[in-house]
Amino acid sequence: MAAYAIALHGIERFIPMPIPWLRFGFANIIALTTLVLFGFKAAMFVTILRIVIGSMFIGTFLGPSFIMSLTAGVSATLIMGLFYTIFGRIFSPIGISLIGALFHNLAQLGTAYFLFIHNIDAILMLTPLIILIGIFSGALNGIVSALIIQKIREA
Amino acid sequence: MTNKSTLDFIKAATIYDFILFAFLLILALGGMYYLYGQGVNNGTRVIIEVNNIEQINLPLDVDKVIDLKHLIIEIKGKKVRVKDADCPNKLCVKQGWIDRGAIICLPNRVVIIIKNIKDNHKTIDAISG
Repeated sequence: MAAYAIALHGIERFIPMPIPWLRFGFANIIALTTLVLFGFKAAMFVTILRIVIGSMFIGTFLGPSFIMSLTAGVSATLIMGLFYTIFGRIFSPIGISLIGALFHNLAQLGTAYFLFIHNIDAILMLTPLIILIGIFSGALNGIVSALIIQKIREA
Repeated sequence: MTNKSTLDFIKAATIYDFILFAFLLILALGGMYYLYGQGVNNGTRVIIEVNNIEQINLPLDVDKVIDLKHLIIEIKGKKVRVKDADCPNKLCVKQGWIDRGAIICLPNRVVIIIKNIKDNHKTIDAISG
């Protein structure tokens, strides 16, 4: 699972995006799938492993983007785990993914603010746009994850 | 195959997923309307912060090239861009021209923001000059 996540993390960098900084967060598909199939601890392990090893591959280990990835990835997985445990019955993986995407983005913006850019105007200006895009990428990831979970359970 | 997958997805999603989706959508769009709807669009000043300290405050409608240590910023035709930077992935350069909002260069801790706030000295200079 970690290997899949690392691969997606790496491949994603080569997908051209209209706005820099913006990614689909495909690796989150794996975190979510792991969460549902193997539980929270496994998902957290996969997330941390993916970010650490992934950043070593692309050469951003311990740099700003690594710190942002790590805080965001960990908080997203944490929140998804919490939501899945408490509300797993009423939300499908799609809802869990939406929450994960939201908190991923919020954590990333929060980290950017506290560690690097203390300009609240600049951060706030980006926030709604990033959340909006996160809703769509989160939903898409949730759908893909739901399908993977279904296929694996059927098999 | 595709049809079956689509059906599966609709079956997988719960009503709460849709409620959550709609709620977040309204939140984001509301936030965008609130932020971009009022005044932010027609900012007139280019403010450049380095290490969270305001360094440069220039009018947006005067063409200029600013050479900072790590990046070159260009103001032209009421737009701003980072012309060149020495950071590894050059995201700020790729962002291109902006006429609103902000460009953030994280590795060099530079924020370029278009705003309405005026710098008093510069305003007076502009009148006298």
